[in-house]
Amino acid sequence: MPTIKLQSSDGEVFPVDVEIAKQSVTIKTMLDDLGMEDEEEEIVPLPNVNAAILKKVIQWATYHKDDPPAPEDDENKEKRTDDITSWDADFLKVDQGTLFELILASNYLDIKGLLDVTCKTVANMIKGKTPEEIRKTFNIKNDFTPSEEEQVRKENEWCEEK
Amino acid sequence: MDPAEWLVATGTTFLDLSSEDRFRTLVYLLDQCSPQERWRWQRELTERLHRDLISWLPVEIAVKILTYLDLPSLFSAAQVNRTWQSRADSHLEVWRQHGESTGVQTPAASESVQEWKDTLRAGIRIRRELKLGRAFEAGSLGNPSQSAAQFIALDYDEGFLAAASFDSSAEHSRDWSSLVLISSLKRQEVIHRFMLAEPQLRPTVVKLIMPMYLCVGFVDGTIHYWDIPDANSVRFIGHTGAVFSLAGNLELNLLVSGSCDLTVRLWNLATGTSIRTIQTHDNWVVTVILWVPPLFSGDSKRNDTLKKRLFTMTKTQIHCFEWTSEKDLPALQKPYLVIPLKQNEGYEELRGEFFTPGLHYDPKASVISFVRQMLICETQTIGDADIISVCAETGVTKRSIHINQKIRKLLAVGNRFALILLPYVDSKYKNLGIIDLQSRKLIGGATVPHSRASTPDFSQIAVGHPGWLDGLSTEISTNQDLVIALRVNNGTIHTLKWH
Repeated sequence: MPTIKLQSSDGEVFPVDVEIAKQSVTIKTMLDDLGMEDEEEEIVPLPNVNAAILKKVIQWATYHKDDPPAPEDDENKEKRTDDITSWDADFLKVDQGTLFELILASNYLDIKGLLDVTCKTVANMIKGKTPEEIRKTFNIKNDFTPSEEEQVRKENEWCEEK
Repeated sequence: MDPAEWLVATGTTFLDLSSEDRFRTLVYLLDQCSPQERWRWQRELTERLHRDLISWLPVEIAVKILTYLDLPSLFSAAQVNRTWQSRADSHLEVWRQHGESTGVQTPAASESVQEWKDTLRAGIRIRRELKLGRAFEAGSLGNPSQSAAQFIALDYDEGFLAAASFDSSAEHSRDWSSLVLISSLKRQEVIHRFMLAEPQLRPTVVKLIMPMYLCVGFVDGTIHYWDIPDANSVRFIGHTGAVFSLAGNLELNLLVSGSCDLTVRLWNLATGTSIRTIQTHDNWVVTVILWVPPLFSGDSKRNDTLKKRLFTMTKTQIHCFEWTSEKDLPALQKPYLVIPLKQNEGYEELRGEFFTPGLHYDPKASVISFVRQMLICETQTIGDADIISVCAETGVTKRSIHINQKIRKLLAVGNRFALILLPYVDSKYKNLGIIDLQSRKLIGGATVPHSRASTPDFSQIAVGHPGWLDGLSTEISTNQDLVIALRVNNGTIHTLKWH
């Protein structure tokens, strides 16, 4: 199987199967547009992804190389977050910083499956919490004045008992 | 030594330490810091150890994350801080899916997210009230005629309820009384009262054509029409059996009637002359619906090139007719589309027992909706029915919703919800049901008194403006007050309004 070399922002080079790398639409477009497919020695520079994160991304893409393409989003359909596989859940047991970098990397590399599952993981960190609990989770300062806070609370009052 | 070089060298050494030694090193370094430096670290550390993902991520990703939240969490998220609030409140797509699952009206282009959130909350509130059975308020119009007469036919239009009454107990005496009342629901009072010229005739159907034009059909086949503003009245004579259904249009000067003599008749509304008798039906015609597009455009020039439509229903078929010019009417003969109500051919006699009245036409979507009652097999005692919508042009089925209930009447149907009358069981069973056509579930309803059908079309039930069946909104309780009115066996009229 042909391989290509991906170079992280801090200079580390990772040889990867082309088919695995092509899960990234960004890399796929680059290869297709530039006809880089045959030149095995070509190095694809990824200036927005550091080595630690690129390693994780490659690990994820290798495991998911045989997945069917992620379905298109239906904006009118209620979205699920309880369909994360146990492998992905384990894979994403990382600190918030790594999760943040993984989201940015999957967005930059345009890997829908990884972006979906990382976003779902963040959503699960928010779900079922009060505003104060969310602030604690992400260490966020409440920058509303007391009167603004009252106003916002009214606008977002949840009318059904949880 | 160059500080940068020293830092790299120290860093490398640091990385080689055990995690316990690293911790000790950091504690030692911190102990060397001045109070000001420690203070700075206290702030710096919390920022470094936590990440406010929603604020720091690109807006489109933050919005994507928010779309994964359920509604209570989303309402919480919008209160976290200013950035979170603006991510939630300036992006309609965050809320849209929840509107879809709640069944509220789709947002208008001009609507702000905040306004639409109010709609969404109203929708949630209404659904909860429906589920708990608190959405409606029951009332009664009593019997304002103060006689033994009983109301037997009802119709509603734009805030007015017409009710025809008949005193069957006096059938063999000289004091027959049958009369028609028009009541304003807003003012809760009777605004018009007609004594019928032949009081021994039992009315079978009333129809308000705009609130001030009234038609009444009778058991002997005659029809009376009152033009209240002009104090004019017309009689239509021709049917040889009870009239079950009426529809009229003032602009076309047309009245359509369906009868148990198997015919549909078209009449000149002002003069009472017969225009056409349609004889394509082989059963009682229990429903006629006339649809006329707005004929006058902005410059008030009448447009006669637009298609008009007539839909008729018997217990076995729905017939669809159309024409454009008035000149075509006398020749109107064949339906352009016939929709069978039976599904399993060969069971005609059995199926006939399970006809469900209720025919509805949505001109915007060009869809006809009705109920196809399933055969009741020996093992199935409850009965099953499908609420079916077909294309009014081709007869192709667009939607079929299966309900595990025997439906007595399809009262009204919208894009999203349907209002059905189920068999009366007891005072706790909700026999007025609302179906969510998307989730295909009964989402609530109310208990209305037992009402026996006196005509095949259940013309003793009138439905108010059912605009809310297309989608819930904040205006539901203020603008759309009547849900249904039905005649109760003791002669009163039972009404149901939004609470």
